[in-house]
Amino acid sequence: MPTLSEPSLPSFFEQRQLSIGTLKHSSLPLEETTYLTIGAGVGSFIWVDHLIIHGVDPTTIVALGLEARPYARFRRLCRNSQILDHDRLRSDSGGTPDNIWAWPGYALREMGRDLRCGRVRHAARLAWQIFSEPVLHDPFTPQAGDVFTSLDREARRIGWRTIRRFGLARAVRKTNDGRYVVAYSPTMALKGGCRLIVARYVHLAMGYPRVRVLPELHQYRQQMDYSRHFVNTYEPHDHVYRRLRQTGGAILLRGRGITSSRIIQKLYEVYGHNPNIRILHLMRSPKPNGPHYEYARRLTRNHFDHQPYNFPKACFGGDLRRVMEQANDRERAELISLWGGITTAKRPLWERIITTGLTEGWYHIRFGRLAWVEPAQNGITVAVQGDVAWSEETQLRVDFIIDATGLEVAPERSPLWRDLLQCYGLPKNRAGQIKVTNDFEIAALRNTPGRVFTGGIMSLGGPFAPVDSFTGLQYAAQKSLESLIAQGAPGVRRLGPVRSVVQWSRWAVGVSP
Amino acid sequence: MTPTLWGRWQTRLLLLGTIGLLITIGFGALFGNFVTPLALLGYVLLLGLAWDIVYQALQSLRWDRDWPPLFMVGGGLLEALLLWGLIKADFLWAGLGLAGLPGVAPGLTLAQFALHYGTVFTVIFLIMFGPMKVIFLKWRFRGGQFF
Ligand SMILES: Cc1cc2nc3c(=O)[nH]c(=O)nc-3n(C[C@H](O)[C@H](O)[C@H](O)COP(=O)(O)OP(=O)(O)OC[C@H]3O[C@@H](n4cnc5c(N)ncnc54)[C@H](O)[C@@H]3O)c2cc1C
Repeated sequence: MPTLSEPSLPSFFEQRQLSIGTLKHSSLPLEETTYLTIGAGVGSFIWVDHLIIHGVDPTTIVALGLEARPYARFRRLCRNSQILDHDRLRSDSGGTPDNIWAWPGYALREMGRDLRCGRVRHAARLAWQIFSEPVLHDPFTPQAGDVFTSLDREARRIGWRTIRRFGLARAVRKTNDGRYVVAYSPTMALKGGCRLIVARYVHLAMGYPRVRVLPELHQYRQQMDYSRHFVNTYEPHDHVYRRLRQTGGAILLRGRGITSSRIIQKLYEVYGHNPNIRILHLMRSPKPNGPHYEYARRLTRNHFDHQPYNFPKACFGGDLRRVMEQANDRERAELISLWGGITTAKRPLWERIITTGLTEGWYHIRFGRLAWVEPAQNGITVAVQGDVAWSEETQLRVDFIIDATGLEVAPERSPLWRDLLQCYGLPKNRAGQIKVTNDFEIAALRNTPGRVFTGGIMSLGGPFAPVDSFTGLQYAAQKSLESLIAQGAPGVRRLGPVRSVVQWSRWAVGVSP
Repeated sequence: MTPTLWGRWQTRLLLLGTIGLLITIGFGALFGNFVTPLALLGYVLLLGLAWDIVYQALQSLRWDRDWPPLFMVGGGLLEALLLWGLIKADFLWAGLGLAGLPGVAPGLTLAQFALHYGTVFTVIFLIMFGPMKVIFLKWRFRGGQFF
């Protein structure tokens, strides 16, 4: 993630509301559009796709971002956390960021491809899987590569290349004519100066602010050539597996979400080449039982909380979605930590690896926290402070620490959000993220007729639980579209049954909307 | 689509009232008797409204609160069994002073019933997995509700 060395913004950006006259008379290049999305990642793409399919003229939309492909950052984070293109993601077949209707899902498409290539058995297996999931079979999840290919196809169809433009957004302000102005740098180096773009509707989709750097890691990195021994899963760290393959070694792993499951799988692959590998999985506390909600309890095994997706399925569209929408701010925060939290999917392979590792002794689970970390000869010395029952401190020498505790979610960690929080005093919800209405509008930024919408991780704790998922991004886009339709925003038309079928048919044959 | 109770009812009503009705009329023509297939359709709808309450209660026992395809098929089979049981429950109807389940011809064979019921169920099952999402964009997010 770029960090802004904050070269000065134009001085008039200190005000909360800027006059259009001032902007026009400044020496900065200025242009105008109707719809502007910032980020140009998966969330922006889905929003733009919705706009165009709902009738908006693509020439009135701009997507400002750092990378040409909408999935560039997502793919990078996947790759670093060892989800390669042929690996499977966590969403269901109907999590289709390239298709606003969620049909056909990736399972059906994969079956179609299998049949075309004569792989009838595999197609039949998939058919059985989607029919019997999650009761008799673990749920189908799409291959990452299939999602990327489908996004490329949809990007071509809607003309993403002409909509997306390079720009590092630095500040957003209200204008005195009911719109917004965004200051952005047209180059990464921030040397290209500053440009302005004015829009009536703004969508903020910058995703996760950055990789989470825990205090211990931060401290260690200040002392040492950090990239070698203490790594975060979301950063490139393939050298760890290369070294382990050659010489073996001891690894301390932190985090018990799906990423850590994937890392254990990767380490198990390495173990196949070099059995001289030991994994110490450091967990904060034991987890003998999962949480319960009303009459149901979440499955827990080996201190891992299991659920197929990041939230229970009904949060994506069943009765739990409604519960969440109707809950108040405090209840929403509670529900988020109850239904969400750190979980992994129950995959037979992962369960087998853990059980084998525990039995054979090359995989250990230990409860406690990392007290301190110190560089050692060819490795790291770590001190593990036991949990309440065994509060002793143990010193260990490990070759690598792999931190799979996640990405930074706090809005303050993103320069653009921080600026907005400071300038407009945006309210936050109880979960610590940006407060949004049920339409995903940031009410505090309303500048009638202008509106600012968001979605994704920044709106966690709002009206929809799984906001940071393909389906959640689609839900947020759909809700914001409803709001735009209600206010008669230019070009947006309701997608009734007939138009919906027509638009879907155009998607199916691959012609522009 | 993960249904809510209202969603189950509304979707059942809409699909049985359109596609279900069309298929039923087709079977009426095929069997040379419109009353029996239409009466069966009516029973599937009415009993279904009650079944849906049971399904929804069971669904809330699941952590994911979902209703997998396998359960849908299981539910469909159970509904068919109950209805066929009612058709054949002569002792019950005799006790009520009726000749049989009202509207259903006494000569209805299991094959006719299975063919009619099976076709309606399969077509609706397939429509719910795809075309419904295309026709009604918000349907999947609303747990099957239209209103
Ligand atoms: C490893 C991983 C696996 C996941 N797997 C799944 C899955 O299987 N299924 C699922 O449904 N969801 C999954 N998700 C969640 C979610 O779908 C992704 O996080 C998705 O990429 C979120 O989209 P976004 O638009 O919010 O963020 P991104 O796709 O990250 O896009 C944000 C973009 O904004 C840009 N940006 C940031 N700041 C600025 C600025 N100031 N100016 C301009 N541009 C800026 C960034 O460079 C980035 O390109 C996964 C997430 C991760 C991290």
